[in-house]
Amino acid sequence: MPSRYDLLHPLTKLSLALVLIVAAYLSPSVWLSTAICGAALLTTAASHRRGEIARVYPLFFVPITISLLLIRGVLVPDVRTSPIDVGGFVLSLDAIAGAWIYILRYCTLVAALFTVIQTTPTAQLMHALAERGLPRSIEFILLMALQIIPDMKLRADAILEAQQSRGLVIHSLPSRIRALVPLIGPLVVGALVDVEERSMALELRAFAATNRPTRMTVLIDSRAQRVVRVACIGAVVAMGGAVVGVRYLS
Amino acid sequence: MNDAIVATNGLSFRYTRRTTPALDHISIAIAAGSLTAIIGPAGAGKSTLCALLAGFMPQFFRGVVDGTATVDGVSPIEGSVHAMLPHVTVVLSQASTQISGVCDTVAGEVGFALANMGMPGDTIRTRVTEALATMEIGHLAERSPFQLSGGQQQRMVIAAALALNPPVLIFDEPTAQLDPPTVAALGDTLRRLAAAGKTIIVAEQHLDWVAAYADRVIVLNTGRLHADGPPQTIIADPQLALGRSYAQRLSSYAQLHDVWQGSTVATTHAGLVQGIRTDAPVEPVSRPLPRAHAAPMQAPVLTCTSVQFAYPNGVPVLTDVDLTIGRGERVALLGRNGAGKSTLLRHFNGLLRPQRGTIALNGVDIVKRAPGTLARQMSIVFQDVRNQLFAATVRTEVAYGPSLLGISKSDQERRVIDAMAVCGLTDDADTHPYDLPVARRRLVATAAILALESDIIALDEPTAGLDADSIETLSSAIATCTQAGRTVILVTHDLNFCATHTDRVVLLAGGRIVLDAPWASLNDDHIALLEREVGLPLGFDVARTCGIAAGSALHHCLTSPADLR
Ligand SMILES: Nc1ncnc2c1ncn2[C@@H]1O[C@H](COP(=O)(O)OP(=O)(O)OP(=O)(O)O)[C@@H](O)[C@H]1O
Ligand SMILES: [Mg+2]
Repeated sequence: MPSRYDLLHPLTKLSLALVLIVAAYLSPSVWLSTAICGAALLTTAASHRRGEIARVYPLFFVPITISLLLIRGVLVPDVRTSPIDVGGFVLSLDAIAGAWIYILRYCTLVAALFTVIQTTPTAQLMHALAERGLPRSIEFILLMALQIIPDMKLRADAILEAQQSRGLVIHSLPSRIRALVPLIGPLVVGALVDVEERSMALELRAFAATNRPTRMTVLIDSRAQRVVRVACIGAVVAMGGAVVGVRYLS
Repeated sequence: MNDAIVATNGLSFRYTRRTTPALDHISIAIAAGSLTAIIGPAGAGKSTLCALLAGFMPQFFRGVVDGTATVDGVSPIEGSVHAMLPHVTVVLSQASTQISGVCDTVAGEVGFALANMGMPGDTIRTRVTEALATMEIGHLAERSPFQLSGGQQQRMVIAAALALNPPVLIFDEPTAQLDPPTVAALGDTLRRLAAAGKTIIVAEQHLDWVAAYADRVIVLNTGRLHADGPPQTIIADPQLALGRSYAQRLSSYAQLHDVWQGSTVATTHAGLVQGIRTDAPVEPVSRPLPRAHAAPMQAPVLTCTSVQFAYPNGVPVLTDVDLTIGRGERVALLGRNGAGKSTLLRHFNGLLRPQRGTIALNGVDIVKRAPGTLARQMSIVFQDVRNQLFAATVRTEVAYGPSLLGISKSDQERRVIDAMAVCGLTDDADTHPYDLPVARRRLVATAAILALESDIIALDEPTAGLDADSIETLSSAIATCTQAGRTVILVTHDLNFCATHTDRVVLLAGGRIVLDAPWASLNDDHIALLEREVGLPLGFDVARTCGIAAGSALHHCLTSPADLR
């Protein structure tokens, strides 16, 4: 069952994400950034697909966190400010705090946007954007772009299954590289054929028709959501203004 | 013909890079309100004609067009596909390639063309609901188009064409993946549409379907118009070498056994029912039980116990499957579209793991085994062969599997040669698989699996899209497997084919096996169940309509599978 969050108007979700991302970017304090990142993760938690979404987070977060901490904390240690010694390495606490803010910004960006994309059917997202005047050609380019990854994955899975059922075993690095040969062939051929077939399929569904398309479904919106969206845009503008103001005044 | 809605005059088409034309001076006129079938062997030009009439040439399939064509007053050669949509639409042969990919739901996909044409939302919803109901996929309306079984995908793309509702509808092999009840329902739907004035053109391999539903048959052969006329005369004409429909085979068989009263060979179910002499004395044939049934379960090669599985989208597919298959058996695994047949097959070689229950091959539990390690025991020819073929020549494609098995070079070579020979591909050994007609490509995929010489070979919809010749080849390939003592599992909607190539029928419904018995010992209850779920092979069907009791000698005579080849 989709949650209340999942069913929000796509633009409401996008606006919320935007506020969080801008706030994370502008936040001057570690504690505030942590809170903002927490809020972004809360949107994930509010979705009924939270498990699925959270499962890929380590993939996004862990490598970046480790490398940023290393770069900022060890390789560029500013030893004069609060140094600590970890098993022979001298780390700088302040530098780590600085790195931490970057990490939080990045995590907020990924969590906020990824949650919107994962909880909003692409067609709905495009529908909402088209209602606000996004040109048709861009709508379709975006749609196709968003579709490429899931398409490739579906295909890759199917190809892997077909080859495994002929005795392809993937357990070690050499076997993985050997496995690539039969996989890449159909994947590339498949991708090329897919593009061709996809354009035929789109043509068969009158995608190139010049008249303005109608929609089968109506997006659910509400007064409250409109208010929230206006407030979000207002907040973004206010934050931007505040930053400019502070710069200008000091 | 003046009232022709589809007309071609000297129409030719040659694909770029080919020397011979795919269509060679075709002149036909098709009247509005008719249902015309286009038949002919693989590579005859059926699909080319379908695509051309819908406006795909020369924009999508590059080549040289010659002659003229009009569809509903417009030239499909000059017009683009979408400009033709108010006049004609086509359902191409492979459903999976016709998913636009930009719709999240089945309903969205079916209504997508209507929305793009600017139709009001209410109209679209009504038409989509109707089309989904006609194809019996209303319950899948909110499902992603990519999370469907092969047959469900085919139903969806047909529904999309029905929702468009133009005056001319063209279908290229629409029944290839459909279960028999849906095939019959589609026939009725198309007849109804034709009666309401729509013009229907169907490229089809199943002569029995053609005989039952078409009112005109056009035969193509190597791009030329070979014959044209009503189905009864065309299909019955031995000169045309179309291969015989199952109805014809059954009536000749009945003649041979003196239970036939007509003088001519029947081409339809009705003709058979009239022709069979229900009062004829039949010598009870003592039929030796198929080998595997003599001692089926002493050495089970495959055992499933309480297997349960649901896809991540939460749809439960298998709820409780128990199945044991003995060495050397030939088993038909049947069920409606979406029953879970392909899903179950993927469990047998470890591609999918059951959420509950166990699966054993040769008595060894495989649930924890890595996929790929089981190819010696069990392999599958998949429903969608696109994902399997990757090599530059047929030979390398077939050789790939054996090269992974860790067997000697000479053994590998022998297997490749054998498999290609069995599948009639020896002459094509150095051809690129994608340069072969689709039907032959399926045989390449089959040869690639046969070369593994696994204990169990499963074929998922092996006859889909095959012409009579290729089916013949497939037939002998299966026979070779059986002779070598291998177990064959056929997943198919082609009941006549599987009734002649298997000894035992396993019916999957509601996530469990609801029927499991040898064809030869089905009783009336079994037959009724089978008919309700997936329909009956022709012999059973005719026997049932004639009121011949299961178990009687005459019933045996009509339904005994092996002799119907
Ligand atoms: N990748 C998938 N994700 C989610 N659900 C799926 C997926 N593939 C199939 N299904 C669903 O699982 C059920 C069983 O599908 P399966 O492909 O096993 O059916 P089948 O019996 O082989 O049907 P067909 O005769 O159409 O080939 C169907 O309801 C289908 O919609
Ligand atoms: Mg299937």
